[in-house]
Amino acid sequence: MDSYAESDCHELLLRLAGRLPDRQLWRFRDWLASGAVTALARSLPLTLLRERVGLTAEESRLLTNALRPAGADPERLNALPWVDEIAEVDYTFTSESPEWVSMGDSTGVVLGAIVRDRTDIGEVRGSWRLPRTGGEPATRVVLVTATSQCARLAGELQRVLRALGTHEPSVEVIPRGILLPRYHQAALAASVPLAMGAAEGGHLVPS
Amino acid sequence: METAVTQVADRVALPIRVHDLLLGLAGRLDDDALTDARELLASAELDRSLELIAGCLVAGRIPLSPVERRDLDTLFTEAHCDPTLIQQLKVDDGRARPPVHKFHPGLVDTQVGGAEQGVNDAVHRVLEVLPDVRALWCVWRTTPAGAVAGPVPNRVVLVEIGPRGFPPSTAYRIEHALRRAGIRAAVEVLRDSSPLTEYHRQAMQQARRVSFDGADGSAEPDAPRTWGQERQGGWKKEPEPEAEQPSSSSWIPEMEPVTSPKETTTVLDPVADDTPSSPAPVPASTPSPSPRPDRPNFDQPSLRRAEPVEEPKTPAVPVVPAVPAPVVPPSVPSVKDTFDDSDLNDQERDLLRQLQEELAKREQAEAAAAPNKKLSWQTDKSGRHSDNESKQWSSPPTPRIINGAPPSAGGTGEPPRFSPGA
Repeated sequence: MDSYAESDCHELLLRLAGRLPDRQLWRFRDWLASGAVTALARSLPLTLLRERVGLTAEESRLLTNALRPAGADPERLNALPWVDEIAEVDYTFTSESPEWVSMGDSTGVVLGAIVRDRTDIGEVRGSWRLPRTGGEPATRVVLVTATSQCARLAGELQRVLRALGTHEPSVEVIPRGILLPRYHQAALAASVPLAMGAAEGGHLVPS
Repeated sequence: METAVTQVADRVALPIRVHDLLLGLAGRLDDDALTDARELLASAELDRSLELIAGCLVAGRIPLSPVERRDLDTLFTEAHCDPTLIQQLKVDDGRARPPVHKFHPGLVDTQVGGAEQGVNDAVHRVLEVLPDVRALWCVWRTTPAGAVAGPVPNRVVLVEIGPRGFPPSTAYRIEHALRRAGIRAAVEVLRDSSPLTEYHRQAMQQARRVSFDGADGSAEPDAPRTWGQERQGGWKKEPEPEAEQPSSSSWIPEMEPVTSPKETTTVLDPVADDTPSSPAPVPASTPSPSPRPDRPNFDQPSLRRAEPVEEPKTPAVPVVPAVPAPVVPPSVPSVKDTFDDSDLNDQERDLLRQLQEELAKREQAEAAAAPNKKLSWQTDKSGRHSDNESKQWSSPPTPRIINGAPPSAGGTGEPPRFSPGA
């Protein structure tokens, strides 16, 4: 998979945050990070169809560019419905988990230890996501800026968070220059800094 | 008509073959992948289940044996999946060693707790409707599984089902019930006609059994619950009447007998290793009137509640005159014989099963002839859901230690937190 296709696929999976269940999204991101694009090409379109997830025209272009060369079924790709724009985000975000009072953030400490001195990583921030309809516990969303290898970084951080106890990690590695989707804008607006890498100009929120 | 029958048979067989494949991958794939694949399987999304399995194998670079690879290839073909993915699977060339896992039943007095804690409360309602569920076992796996391992220890729930049970839906429903109760667990549903994998055999050796009705454990909160404590503590139990032993085929390694006849028992019975080095003798202080101390304890009647007609026999045995009629006639093979012989072929198992069904019918007839017995059973069953018992089981699930850190909020790996009101 060439780097353009990989970055397209990463961007698509980034855009699907909040629209595809975390349970499936982190898995697809892991497959992309592991280079299992063939598997992704089979499963992602089928999952989007079964879950009735509509794509914008731009997202459809990303999907086709990324997965068609890897063997995605064109019939499935063409069957995916388009939407004009992504509707309002179904979640609200807060800087602190409303369910618990933190007495120390071991996840933030571990992330800080990982990204320290990494020149491909900028800022790491976190916020807590709650569904507007309620009924689900708060989910931590980790937002990271990276200069390169975004997909692999997402996979790496996901593995760390899973080992720490988050079964379905929500790690959003944001490449430079991307227009943030509403989901990420909302998450970022409520986020607090967790750690800082060594990449220059990697601040998600201007200081 | 023949075609229709064949199609029905195919529809049944294919998901079960995928289920068996997943059993073989336990310990090699991460638990969430197995859980998700089983959920898709139970939801009649066979293609997505297979693609998920293959995708995880490819991404994790997990080797398959040539036989497994061939089986997966066949399943892909039969499910009309694109077999291109299969070609990327790594095939074990004999150098890859399967992961070695360690299991532990958990210690009640520690933060980890017994693996069975909270399980009964979470699943008992589901177990009442799932067919032919025979036994439930819990254990902690202390080693990570898969390329994208989750936290350790991870709870593993082993479920034994009979021939009328449906493995994929049983696995999904039990896992779903546990998840709703805030308990994450890998649910492995083992069919009595399938041999145990090494992974499951090792898990079973350390697992504790969970009774479905679950009141007795809460009635004896101070009772020793670990295997070692039970062995040393002289845990008193009422002897189990011999006449209440239903015969049933199984392949689970031999375990110490269940000594409590109470259908409501939640106290988790110890599981003895079947290895020669394991301490086989039953503690002298544990009353076990059964002349066959190595009888598998999943044979307890309380664990066979899937069939309502069998239920009346347990609580009413000492009272109802009809009960002394032999539930197990002399011609019935002894339980020990039944379970010791793991080499029974299908025909023999079928004969045994027919015999069991006949016995169940006789019991049902006896129960109908003795209305008091039925009444007794009904009373007992309603008592199972009394407030007292539910209160006793209302404690939260056992805290989980994640890399040395206490339990997390909402399944996340967060540090110890306190409620804002605390």
